[in-house]
Amino acid sequence: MTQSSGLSCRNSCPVWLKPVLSLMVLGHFLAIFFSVTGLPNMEFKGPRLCESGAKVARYYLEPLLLDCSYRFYAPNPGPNPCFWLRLHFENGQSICVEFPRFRQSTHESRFVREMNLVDSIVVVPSSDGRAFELTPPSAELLCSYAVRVFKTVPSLKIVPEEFKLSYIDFYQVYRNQPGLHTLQPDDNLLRARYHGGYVLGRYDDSGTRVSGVSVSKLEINELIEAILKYDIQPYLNQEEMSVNLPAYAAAWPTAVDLLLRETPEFRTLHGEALSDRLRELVTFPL
Amino acid sequence: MFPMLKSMNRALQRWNEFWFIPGDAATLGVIRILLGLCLLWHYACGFSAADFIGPDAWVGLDPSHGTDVLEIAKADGRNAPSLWIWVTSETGVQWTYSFFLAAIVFLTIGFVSRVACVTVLLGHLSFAHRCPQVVYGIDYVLSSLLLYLIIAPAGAEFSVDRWISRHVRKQKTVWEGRQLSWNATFSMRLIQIHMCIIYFCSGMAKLQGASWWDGTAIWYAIALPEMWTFDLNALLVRHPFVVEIISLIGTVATLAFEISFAFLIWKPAVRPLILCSAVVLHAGIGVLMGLSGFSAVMLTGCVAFVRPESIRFLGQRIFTNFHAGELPAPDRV
Repeated sequence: MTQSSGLSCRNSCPVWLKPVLSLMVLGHFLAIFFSVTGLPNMEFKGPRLCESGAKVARYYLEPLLLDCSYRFYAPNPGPNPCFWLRLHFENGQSICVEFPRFRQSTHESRFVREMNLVDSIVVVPSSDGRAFELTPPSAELLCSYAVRVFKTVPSLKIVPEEFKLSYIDFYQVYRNQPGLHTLQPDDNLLRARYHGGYVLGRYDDSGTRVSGVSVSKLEINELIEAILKYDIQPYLNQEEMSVNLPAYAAAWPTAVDLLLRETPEFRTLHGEALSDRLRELVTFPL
Repeated sequence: MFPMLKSMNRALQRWNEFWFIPGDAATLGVIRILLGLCLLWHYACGFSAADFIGPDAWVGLDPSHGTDVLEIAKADGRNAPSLWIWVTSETGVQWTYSFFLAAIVFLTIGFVSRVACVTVLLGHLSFAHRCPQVVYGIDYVLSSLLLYLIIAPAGAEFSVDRWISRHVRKQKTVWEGRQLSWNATFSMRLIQIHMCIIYFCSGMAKLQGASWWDGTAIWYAIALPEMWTFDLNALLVRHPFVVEIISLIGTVATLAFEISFAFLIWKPAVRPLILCSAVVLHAGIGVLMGLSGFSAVMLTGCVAFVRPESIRFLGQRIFTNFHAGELPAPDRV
């Protein structure tokens, strides 16, 4: 069969192949259907039939990376957690960093992957097993990430090889967002920043969140101002300050603002008392 | 009984026309090029082999480091192989990674297209299974598009393969030897249906979220502090009502688009409108949320709904020696 335009049409599907391909297509999309409906949601479980189907279908879908539920920005879009690490060394020194680091110097894809890495740590196993969960939280995994982050982020290669790791502190941080319905028209920009702050949470070795509080974000200048005002000395030396400024910039406003805004009893604290409380809340080098 | 057989026969005939009627591969050629460019951007620019698959990768292969990707996969019930589990030395990773990038280039230019497509898919899957903790939406869409391109005669158009074929056979015009093929239609249909599933599932899942009902979801999406490209707080403080209106319109439009895409895209009358909406949505995601890569891949998938004649018409406008012809559409042959 030849078309008038010069296109030959001899490449048609053999008759015997059509039913085979039809069945394969049906099976393929049925597997995807099970995959998207069988995964548990935030509040609801999938239909039992779909759950069972998904358990079978994953052996086909998973190797091909088709086992996605396509729930992009659902049920509610919101901020991703970031991850603060502080490595304590046997010589008494310590170092800290926020991970993933700020967006400005990072490729989009890499930044999202880093966020996913952090996200994967805090996945809570589902009640009916972990068939579709990512790696569950574990202290070993967190430690491994921490060490590797320090090894692979070029600007953070300041840990001498001979330093032996003693232990690591972890903080899971959720940034807050300004809420449309919580902001009043007469509020000022600072009010917006107040809503655009952080939620600071502390996790124990098993990955369980033991504390959490919403705090605000300040700009670097305000951070420095706060440090000067309260006589806080977070930097061991100038060199470390320059290396770690992004991490401090993220960390200190959180801690300072936590004291100033979110917990009224700390507003009266100054000097040593404030520093002690900061040490307790955020174990950063003081 | 007879009418039932008749309707069954008609259904089978429509099924046959939908999936197996020989079609033009021009659209698939464009998808191949766009997908190749997305992959190049994704892997050559935004990927560090050392961090993700190298000997010192974040998720290690060495149990002494505390993590072992095989143990993690085993504990998680995952059973997906990865080339990077066997290729562990720094040199090995570099060579294999270079080979993978070369395969992406070959796919983009359409040189040994099918082999290149298989190689790229294997490499892509290997990466994803080596470090599943860092996989996100773009990886899922890429893998599905690559899988469907393997079936397709993706190198039949706009490719080095096509150019070689013309010169080897000493064809005088670009039309000679060009075929309509059933697998062009077949793979195109797979991509089209997969795109419908993605949008529909995404839209339906959003209906569970309170912010998608009260109209604030778009604000929360575009003002994610870690993702934003513009600091929108100042706008919110100065003009909260405007922000709220924009957010409400954006939220409703997103839901309407995603849920209706699977149904309306098949209607020729509204298809251009739906495709334009897709461009607007993904341009917004790319600009406001900084997820340009994901947007580009999704729009590449949406190209499957563009008729081959439209692509040839556009090509004719761009390249003067490009023959538009009067190709029958896959569903009209």
